[in-house]
Amino acid sequence: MSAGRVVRAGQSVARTVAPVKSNNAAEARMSVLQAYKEFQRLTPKFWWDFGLHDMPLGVFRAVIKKQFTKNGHLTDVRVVDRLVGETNMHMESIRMAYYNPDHVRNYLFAENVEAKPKDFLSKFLNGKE
Amino acid sequence: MLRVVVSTAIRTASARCLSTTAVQKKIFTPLMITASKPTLQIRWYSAKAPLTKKTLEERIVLVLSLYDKIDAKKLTMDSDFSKDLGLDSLDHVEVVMAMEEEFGFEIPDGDADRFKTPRDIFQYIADKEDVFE
Repeated sequence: MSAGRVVRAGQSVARTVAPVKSNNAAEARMSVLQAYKEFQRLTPKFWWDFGLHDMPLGVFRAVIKKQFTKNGHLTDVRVVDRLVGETNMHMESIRMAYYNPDHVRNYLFAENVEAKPKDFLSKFLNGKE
Repeated sequence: MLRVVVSTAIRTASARCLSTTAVQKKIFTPLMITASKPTLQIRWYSAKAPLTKKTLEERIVLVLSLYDKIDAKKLTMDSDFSKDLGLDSLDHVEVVMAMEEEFGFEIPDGDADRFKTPRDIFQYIADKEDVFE
């Protein structure tokens, strides 16, 4: 493919794949920053409309930022593009109010959601699965 | 629109002036004099406040020092955002957003990427808003 790009150069094998959106890391970086800017512009409305004002806006902005920084280690451009696309879809859903406040809370504060039971006995005791 | 209304009003008033008594003429003369002079507008609706280099610098420093991730004591016009002030790229985006809000125009990402110090922002806004003195 002419628009292809080398993703992984092993000892003997180089795999060429079509880019999702960005052709190089710099482009991917720009798209992430763009998505972040757009998200931060959306944040005050998001914060108010979804009834998240039990926390100050500054704290909520930091929560949004954490969603971006937790993926900071990613280097694969295709993965980054995919995540940016998902972020754009999230923003669309927030704008159009396809999400409910509870979904947003679970998504943004996953650490507060009670973890699924791992071992057999606690699954049994919790009555899940 | 308003100017048209006012000027026609003055014209009709002055026309009426000529045909009426001297007392009325006297009342209308000051109005005619002020209308012939270039008027100084006091209120500028929806226009930006005029910028000088000094006020521009003050406003930039104010916005930056109010941003909670920047230590106001470390802040100078030549301190590097990432090295001296410890901002990451996402914080940098927020700083640029704050500048856009402060000065009322959008800064494209390609230009915003080149801002290393507050001085760069100063220079950029001075160029865009035609601030010369």
